[in-house]
Amino acid sequence: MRLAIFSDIHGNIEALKEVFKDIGRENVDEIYCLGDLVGYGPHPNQVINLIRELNIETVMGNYDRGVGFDLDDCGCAYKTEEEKRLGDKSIKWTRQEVTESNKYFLRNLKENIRLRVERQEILLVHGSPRKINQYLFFNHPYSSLKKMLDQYEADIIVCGHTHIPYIRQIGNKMVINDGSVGKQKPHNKGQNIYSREAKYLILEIGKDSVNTSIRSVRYDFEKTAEKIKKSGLPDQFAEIIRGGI
Amino acid sequence: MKNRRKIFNVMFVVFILITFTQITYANQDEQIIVVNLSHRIERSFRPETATINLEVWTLNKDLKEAYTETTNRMNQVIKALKSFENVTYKTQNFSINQRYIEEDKKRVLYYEVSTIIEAETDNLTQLGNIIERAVSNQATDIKGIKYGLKYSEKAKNQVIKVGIEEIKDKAEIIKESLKKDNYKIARLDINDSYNIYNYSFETTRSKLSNDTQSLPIPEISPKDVNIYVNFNVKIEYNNQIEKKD
Repeated sequence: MRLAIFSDIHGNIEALKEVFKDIGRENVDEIYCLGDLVGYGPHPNQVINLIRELNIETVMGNYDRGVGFDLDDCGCAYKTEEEKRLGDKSIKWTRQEVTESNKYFLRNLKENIRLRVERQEILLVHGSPRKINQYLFFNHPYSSLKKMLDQYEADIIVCGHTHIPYIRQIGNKMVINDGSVGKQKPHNKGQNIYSREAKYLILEIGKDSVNTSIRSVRYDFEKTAEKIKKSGLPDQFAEIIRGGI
Repeated sequence: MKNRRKIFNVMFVVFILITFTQITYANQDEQIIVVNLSHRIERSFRPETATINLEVWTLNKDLKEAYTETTNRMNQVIKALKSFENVTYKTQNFSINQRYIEEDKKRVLYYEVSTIIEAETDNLTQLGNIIERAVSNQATDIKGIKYGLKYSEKAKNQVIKVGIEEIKDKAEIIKESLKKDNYKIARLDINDSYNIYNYSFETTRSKLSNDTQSLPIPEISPKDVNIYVNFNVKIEYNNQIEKKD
């Protein structure tokens, strides 16, 4: 069974369309989305509409919750006052932009998705099984991940939220982060070299093997950046899209 | 100038299909005849860019060791690519696959860690050198080569322009056959496709991984880039209406 799993599109329809083209070539059996369809990007409704149209099973992200329930806070861990100021603008803009019908859709997304493929218990979440907005970074303590896998009776946990993809083997189990489709981030603070491409995961479960691939997909990031500038969203979001290499 | 000539020095493989799909009398008094016309044009261009997919993979019982070895070898490949001018690269895929290998009648779990990068160049004469250098610097596979055009939109527009001229010629011929005075194009639908012929150059893994000597530079003949455009046209024919005093 081949699964395509993606998350953190953040209103970037150009990136999502290219990811779907790549998924189309990858011959997958099922597609899942781990949330954060909206926020920061200029096409929140287009992204939601496409996900709805394709009937993709989707987990709720913290930003989806913020917009769906019309909250002032997206549950994002902003570190500076400037980040907070830009974040406030983003959620305000997105809440105004997203249609009532799409907000209803966001409010009714699942908390998690549990799959059993071959003999593998797979748990799909946005942040972590514990919390919608918990960050499970690539250097998260091994013991904590092991405990989490045991506690939630999962062989594989797939999460998003951090925007940084990784594959970690925890004994004979795994924790995987599928990266981000629409908003790339540097791996370390101050690092200005990071990939601009959209990322997603291909998870292939065989009878006695688990194969994982992080796909990296080119898209017209300039188009998205231009749209951000014209939309009234902070220009800094366009620079993040343009950033990296 | 030479590059410019390359664009225009296309090998004309023109493939035209014209079909009359419908003739209707919209208005008997005015004698308007509506003709629906399908037209297809295809042109081959000499390629101007090439994208080579280079893979490094390693197999190890220890995942960390496999990961480290793959990363080190890929760094070596990237270092080798940096010695070429006009070569850009980006990661396309990172994967960890579980492989069972029989050892002493026991199935032992190995990890195959693979990274694929796309190296793009607009100097097609150095394709063979790039491959040779990558392979002699620890690349395990060449996963394929894609050819493209530097200014594909411009080439597409050229083909569309020629196609429209051909449609006008055909419309004139039909006008004479129908013994009509005038025609007008009432609707024009254009579906353009940009078809890149892929050329796959697969190397032998076992041979490469054991071979410490530099391999001969492979001979590579770039494949043409085909652009084809389908037109659906609705043409209305009528006679000049005599003016009544």
